[in-house]
Amino acid sequence: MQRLAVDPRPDWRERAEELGFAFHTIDGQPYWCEDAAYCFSAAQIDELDDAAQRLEEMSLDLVEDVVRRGAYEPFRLSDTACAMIEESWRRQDKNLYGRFDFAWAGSGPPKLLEYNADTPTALYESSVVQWEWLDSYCAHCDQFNGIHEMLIEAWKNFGLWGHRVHFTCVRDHAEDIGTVDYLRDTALQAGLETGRIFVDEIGWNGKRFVDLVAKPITVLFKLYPWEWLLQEGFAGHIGPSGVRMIEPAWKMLLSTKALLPLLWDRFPDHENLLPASFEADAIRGARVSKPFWGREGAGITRLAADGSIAEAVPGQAEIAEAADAMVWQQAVEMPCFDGFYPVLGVWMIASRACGLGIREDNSPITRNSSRFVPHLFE
Amino acid sequence: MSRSHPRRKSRVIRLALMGTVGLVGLTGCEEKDPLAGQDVIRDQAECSSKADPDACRMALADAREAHLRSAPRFASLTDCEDRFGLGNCGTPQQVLAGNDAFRAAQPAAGTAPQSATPQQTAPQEQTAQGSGSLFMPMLMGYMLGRGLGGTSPWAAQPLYRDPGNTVYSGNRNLGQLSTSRFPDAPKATPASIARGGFGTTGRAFTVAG
Repeated sequence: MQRLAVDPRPDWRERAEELGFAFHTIDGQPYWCEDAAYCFSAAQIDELDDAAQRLEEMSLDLVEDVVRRGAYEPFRLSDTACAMIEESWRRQDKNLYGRFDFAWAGSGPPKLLEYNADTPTALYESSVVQWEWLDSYCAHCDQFNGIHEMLIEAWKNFGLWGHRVHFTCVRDHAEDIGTVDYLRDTALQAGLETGRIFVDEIGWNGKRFVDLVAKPITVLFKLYPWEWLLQEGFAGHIGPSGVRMIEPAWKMLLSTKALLPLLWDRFPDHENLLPASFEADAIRGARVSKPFWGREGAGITRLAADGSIAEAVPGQAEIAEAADAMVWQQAVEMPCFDGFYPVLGVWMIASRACGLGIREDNSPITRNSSRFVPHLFE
Repeated sequence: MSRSHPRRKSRVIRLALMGTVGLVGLTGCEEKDPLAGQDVIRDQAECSSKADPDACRMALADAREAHLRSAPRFASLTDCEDRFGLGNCGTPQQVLAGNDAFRAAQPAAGTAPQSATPQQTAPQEQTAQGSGSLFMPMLMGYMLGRGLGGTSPWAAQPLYRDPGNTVYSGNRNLGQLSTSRFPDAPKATPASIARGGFGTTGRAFTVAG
């Protein structure tokens, strides 16, 4: 694994825009960066692929165990949430996607930092933009990237023929809108009928959720966290409405950081896991505290071995309210290349590992200021 | 663990919606009226102006029977109207009586929506009579064609539609009607639709992780 210096294509902005990649620059800062690329060996890609696939199987095993035993207590979810989780798991609702984030420098076992199982971002750049880059940078090189085909395949297997799938996200957010449009694109190619509606436009007619022309919404893909939906006004309607949600409710058990200590308990000393606990004292040495439902690095604190704060990212208001809903994870030496700290995100589509997207930041905690850098392997 | 690793770089990525490339495949989406070129009539009178009145009567009666057999049924008027629009549902008796009779029973425009349906019987009463699902969409008209070896030289397919102007026949969805040719789609039930019950948390934050 190396970080290569690469000459950006002079017309990369135009190319990105031609692909409909509207968020290559965020708040004036480049988000898509092709002045560098990470280069792997085929064996290293195999290692990442296998690690993610193993973790997916362990995660699904954990969900099965939690549901079977009704052991929802550590997740701190409402009864409504637990009921929906249970129902969706028993009904075997299919899931679409997720992203395992690893710390890895190319040798030894990749270490899981977290699982973005509900609203993972950086999908379009992983699937399409870096693929287009590779095609012009090194056409004979390879890339861990079967995301696009796997998405189309996944939609075909959802059993939704005849349904209209509504895609929802927040308005005024180019990145989320781009992601949702891309997913709609793949659903359309799988032969499904689709529609788009902003999350605040979703209507309730007393029996069902409806779109802007009052047609029932029967299948809803939401790029909007489950825990947010469940604290909002329409939360109580989700169950009775019979709407099929993607991601399904059971993904709530995987999208929380509570997953980390639970996995460690169930698979102690697993080579791809870092020691993790609900108790700060249970983790020795340098450690990181993460809020259950933090996103984009929010609320994460790195503590040095002596307990002093090494780095902290401010949390979101809702996280502060649940300040005790925290997990502790042993700090891992974050690999550093040319002053950048990459996080390797392995994409799961329909629970199959099928691609890699790398984001790097100039601090060890990846946050929403991080940059996407393409990769290749030989 | 030994697995093979077949999942590698995509050979071809085609996009249908995104960006300006790869628009191939989207062109199939232009509006195509399923009734374009078809002979559509609303009732017996319209049929009789094109064909023998007796043949019409038979064909339309057959079509209504076909509608009764295969159109969706609902346990309550509200359920049906939620789906097919206000004043656009009735009992099998009303369907059998045909469009002509149904229209006669409709109140004048401007009457309160509640009275727009001739029989506002409570669903419980209906159930007590022994059949659970008594309400179904009313016919918007019939598609005429030459009968194929039947007793009637004419055959008629029953048509009904929803507030989105999607047209159905029996249990088949025929597609979206052009609003220029068929403008008077039934109104959606004004059943108060609440909005804004989702999205309040997201207003303040970036979503994805």
